[in-house]
Amino acid sequence: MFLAAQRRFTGGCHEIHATVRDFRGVVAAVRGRFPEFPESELLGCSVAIDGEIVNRPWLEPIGADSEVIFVARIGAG
Amino acid sequence: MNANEQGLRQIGTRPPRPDGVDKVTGRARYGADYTLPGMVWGRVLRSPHAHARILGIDASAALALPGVLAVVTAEDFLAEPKGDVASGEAEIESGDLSRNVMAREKALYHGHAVAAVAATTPRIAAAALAAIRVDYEPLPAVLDLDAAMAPDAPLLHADMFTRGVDPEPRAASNVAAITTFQRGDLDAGFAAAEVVVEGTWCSPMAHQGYIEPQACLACVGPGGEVEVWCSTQGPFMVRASVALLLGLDVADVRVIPTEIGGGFGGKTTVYLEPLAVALSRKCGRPVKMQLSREEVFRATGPASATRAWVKIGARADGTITAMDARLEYDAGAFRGSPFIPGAMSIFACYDVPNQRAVALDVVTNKPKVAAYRAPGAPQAILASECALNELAARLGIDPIELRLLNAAREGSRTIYGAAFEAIGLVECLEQARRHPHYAAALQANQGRGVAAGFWFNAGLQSSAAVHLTENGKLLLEEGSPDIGGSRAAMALIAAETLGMPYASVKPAVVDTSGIGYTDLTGGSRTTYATGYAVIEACRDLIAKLCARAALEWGVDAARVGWRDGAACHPDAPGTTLDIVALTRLAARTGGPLSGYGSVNLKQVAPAFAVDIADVEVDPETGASRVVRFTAIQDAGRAIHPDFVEGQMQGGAAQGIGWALNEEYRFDARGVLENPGFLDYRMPVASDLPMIDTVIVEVPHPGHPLGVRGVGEAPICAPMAAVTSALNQAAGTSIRVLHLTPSRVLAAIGARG
Repeated sequence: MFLAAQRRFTGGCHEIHATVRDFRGVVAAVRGRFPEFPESELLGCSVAIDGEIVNRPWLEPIGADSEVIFVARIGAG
Repeated sequence: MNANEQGLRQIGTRPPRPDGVDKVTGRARYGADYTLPGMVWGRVLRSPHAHARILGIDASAALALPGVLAVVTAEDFLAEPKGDVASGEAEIESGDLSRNVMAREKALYHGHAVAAVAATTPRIAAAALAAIRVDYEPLPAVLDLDAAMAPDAPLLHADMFTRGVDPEPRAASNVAAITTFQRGDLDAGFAAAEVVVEGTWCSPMAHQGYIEPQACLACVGPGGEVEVWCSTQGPFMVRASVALLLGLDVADVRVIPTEIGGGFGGKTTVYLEPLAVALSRKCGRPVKMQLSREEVFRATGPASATRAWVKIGARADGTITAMDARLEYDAGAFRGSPFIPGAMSIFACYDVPNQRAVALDVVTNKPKVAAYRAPGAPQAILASECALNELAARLGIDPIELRLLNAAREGSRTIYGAAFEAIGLVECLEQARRHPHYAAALQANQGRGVAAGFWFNAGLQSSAAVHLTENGKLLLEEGSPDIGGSRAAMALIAAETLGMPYASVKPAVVDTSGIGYTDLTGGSRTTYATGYAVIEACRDLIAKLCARAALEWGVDAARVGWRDGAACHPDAPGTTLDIVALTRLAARTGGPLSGYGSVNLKQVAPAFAVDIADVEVDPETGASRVVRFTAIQDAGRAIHPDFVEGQMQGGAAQGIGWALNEEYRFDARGVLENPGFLDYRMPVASDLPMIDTVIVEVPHPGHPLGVRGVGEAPICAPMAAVTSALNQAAGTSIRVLHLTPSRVLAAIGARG
């Protein structure tokens, strides 16, 4: 599921379904579907994978029924 | 499980901090305490307009003055640098960062830097500033959310189109972005409600109030190598920012963090460092720059002013059925307020199936906001927690009982999609309910408020190194500036892991060339992530020590154990080699002994806090004061309880100040009217009661010691607790902060 601010790259699409092994696959799937979606926009976010927030998810495994939600990067205040 | 039950011997104790004597005797060196031979002084010329086009800058007269060595303007920085810099939640895009440190096409707030000079004395530098001619075309300024969002509002950025709107807008706007978090069926949730409360709460732009103004010393060598001494929460952030804005290689930039006199998020970005480096590069001399207090107020980043509308519905038994919010954050001159963390955190305390939070990032002609402890959360939580207290009153339910009835627990799903692992909100609420403060009788004109708060607590990247000296002491190197006692926490963690005395551990915050990359000190991450790196470094060292013992004993290293600070012989019970002995053997068993740790903690470590505030109001004058305050927080594991309590007390004091005392006041031209601590009145010790603390420990499952981090959650709830208490005391329903005596008196008068 995409952040509202990301939907300018998806034509307003809220979510997609894809079969991937890890978050790298998510990035590839999103960019395959939406070539204008900058990789930096995907990698600049945190994600909630099946309910667990991950800040740097690049190698994070994604299960067959996993839910991946983009959220703002949890940083340092 | 407490520290003793976990078998910990040193974690949870309260030894003196390693840097304590230096700090109380004045020996500690802060950003402005450094000098170099041949050093000259840098000063900044600032815009007299809140909004103006810069038509031209003529520095020739300034450069002609004897003693003036260099002038820099926006032309000396990259306009569109390629890359990002990790900073706090109040993020800034790289092109905006360049334009914030030095105005380019337009000055966007009063005090915005437009040029900087280097001169042999501060007096000559000041004269040079006066000699620079800037040709401005003044433009109308927008100074608040309503003015910025008006249909015909003057635009700060002609190329800013609201992100997050579908379809993409065709007209530029001062609304930089809108985002929505939603789960469940809001309409059904409110349809099921028997009681609904609704209101709008406003909190002012407020400053972090760090005691030490920003200061730095920069030196560019003949080969282009750059050294920067500065007061910062993030030396690696400074390194990246300087390299980014000036087109340098990060490997050529060395940043030496000085002691830091407070930051609270305000030192998670750069203002002076790129200017000082640019001036030094131009004039070939070391350049020192330091902000005055007035410049700190006018030109560094405060917390967002925020307007928060909240609606909450519940059944008569107190079960909350729906929560809705619209949050508008004032970002200042550039996009990047903490509107998203605000929306993510506003309802995080409650397991309610139907929730929505819409948040807006709005630019105005004021200083670009920066992070301030749990960025965005206190302003949002002010609204949700005050609304909950009103709901409790409407339902006739105790406010803590109402919160317990709806509290988030392990497995609860948040509005942003995540589900909590083990968390300590219920434990905090139960501590509050049991606390003597909650049962204590109130006096005349006093009221009591409670509120709960939440913050994520970041993990991110940290590095640590440990080295044994020839006599068996431990040098501990880290890259996290020590703001709140983290040296002591790191030393305790190392001592516990290795099984050696705390006094034998010598922690040091080293420069960017002396340690691996470390994200900035903030996000409540230092004890959590850097502490984890220290554990990894010590484990690495233990493995090496066991291997050395194995060599000495002629046994397999895998069979050597480590217990109580010593390697244990696998076949001869009672035969050990401790750290001092192994250090003495180092030369003949392989050489110096060091360990290294680096982590990238992917998980956040959610923390919750609950506050109880008693406020007394003078009905004759409207003056108010906090007479009792109790702060309760889940620390996961309190490594050094003194510094956990210090964070809790500090966050409470800042939240109380935000509610009762503090506010940026701008005149109609956008000029800040109170740029100093006399007129910007932060509470001092004599204004506050003793802030009682209760540390709750529900270990974070993602950390070997259960650490969550403690720096930010303490500021989330005080504004709401104090506001609710004051309204109860005065019989009012004030929703616009800060709670000035005149505002309180007017509300009492209106009450009749």
